[in-house]
Amino acid sequence: MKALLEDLSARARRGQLGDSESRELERLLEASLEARLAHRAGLEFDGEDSVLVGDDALIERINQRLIAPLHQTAHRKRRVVALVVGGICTAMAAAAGPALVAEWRPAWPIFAGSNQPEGALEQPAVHPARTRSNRARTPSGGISHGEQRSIVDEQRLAETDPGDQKLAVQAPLSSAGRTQSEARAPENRARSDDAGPSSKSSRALFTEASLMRRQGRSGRAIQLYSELLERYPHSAEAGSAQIALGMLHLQSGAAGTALTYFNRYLGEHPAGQLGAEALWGKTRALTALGRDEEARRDLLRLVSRYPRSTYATAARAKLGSTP
Amino acid sequence: MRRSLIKLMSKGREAPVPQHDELARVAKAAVQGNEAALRTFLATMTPQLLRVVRRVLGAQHPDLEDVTFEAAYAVLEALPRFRGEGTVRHFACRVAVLTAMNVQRRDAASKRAHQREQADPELVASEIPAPDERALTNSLVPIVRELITTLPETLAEALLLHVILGYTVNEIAMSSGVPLETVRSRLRLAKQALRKRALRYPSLREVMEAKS
Repeated sequence: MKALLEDLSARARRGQLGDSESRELERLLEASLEARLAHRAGLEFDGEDSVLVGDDALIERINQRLIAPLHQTAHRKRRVVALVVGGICTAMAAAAGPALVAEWRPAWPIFAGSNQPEGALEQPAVHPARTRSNRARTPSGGISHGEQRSIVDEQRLAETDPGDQKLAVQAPLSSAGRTQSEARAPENRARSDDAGPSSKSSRALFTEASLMRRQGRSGRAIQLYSELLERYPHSAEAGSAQIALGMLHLQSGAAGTALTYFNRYLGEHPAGQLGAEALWGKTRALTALGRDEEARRDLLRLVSRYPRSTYATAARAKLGSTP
Repeated sequence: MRRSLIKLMSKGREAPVPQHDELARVAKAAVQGNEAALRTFLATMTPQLLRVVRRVLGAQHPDLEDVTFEAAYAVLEALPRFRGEGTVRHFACRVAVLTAMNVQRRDAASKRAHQREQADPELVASEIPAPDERALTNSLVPIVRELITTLPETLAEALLLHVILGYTVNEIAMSSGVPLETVRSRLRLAKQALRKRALRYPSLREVMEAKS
């Protein structure tokens, strides 16, 4: 009976009930308060459902974040293949004679995009079947959001070489969400490490650092935010990274270091959007360091400069409670 | 022999019924590395994952985009392990539910820890009304969201899939990989907890106890 009720409730929410089933559902709901609560809660959740302005852009951003690393990895794979092929050719030429080596050397930049053929054979060994990829030459054929297809073109599916399929799928997974794969298979970890810090944009670094912070891995988050500040000090994410670093150091008890980051933000972004956060963090750091008078001054500054911010309310409460 | 046959037959009766899955081939191709399939899969699934995450966390949650990304990432990572029990859509939505639920539970735990430590500005002056305040408007939504942070994980998951996503018992059993009877039992316990929690609010009690 109960299962029937739950199924009827679920189907009613989808508009799949006939008249007799609707009457049955009404009867069952009347008999049980728990069922009424659950059914009503479900209807309220359905009522909340809506597509909001900006959803398309948000979905597009998410999909890009997932797909973009695929292209980076495909490029890296092609480069490794070129290096290996170039290395083999040089070795063969060396065996044939020094004159041929001299002839081959100028061709190195074409194969490897580098003038350092010596490093070529030091690249990680990659199985030829795994490195062979025609992805770059194949048009992506992807569709935009909203233009959903239920069946993929058979021919296109058949084109994909099974040899490099595994690597290709793992690529976006390992480098896009490196944070999660690190905790899993060592193979994934090795692959994501292969991406190397130098290949990351400030946005990618910031995203990864924020993920780490949200997962409670403060050490790694601090490392990534610091790397971002070091490599991209003038990027759009630098300010947010300073605040995040300040907060993380504050949480870990390093109030002095935290203070440095908040001061740095306030100095570099006098009219920054995160001014209230920076001032609030600064007062917390100063309080932790026992510099109460300075903290009070900054609380007053926070209230006067950002009177409508969330932090101003907390600052007023603090000012009211301190002598 | 006879007993085991009866057991097998009764198991068969209680086994969830598989459904036709139009996304299965796309998902399989995406797992095998077909980029077009991966794009198609994401274009189809990400809006749904966003919807699931928004339902669990609420439209005002500041990390909606990050959590949806995490959910989509987790779906792609889990896809090779999908054994074809239930539909890909249900499987992906369940992964999103679990991801969002974990965030919700983690947020709640961290809020509780902060409350113990010191007054946090986010708590002192949050613009989002507390669950108690929202319950005064006779809404069960904040109560369910609050409940999933305190219920045992399996019960919370069943409640989420049924109440928030509107799954039938069979669909929950298929996507969770548990017997129908277990789902029923979990739902029963979760609903009892919901009733207990909801009836703490007098206004809601009045509305709910009045039979239509």
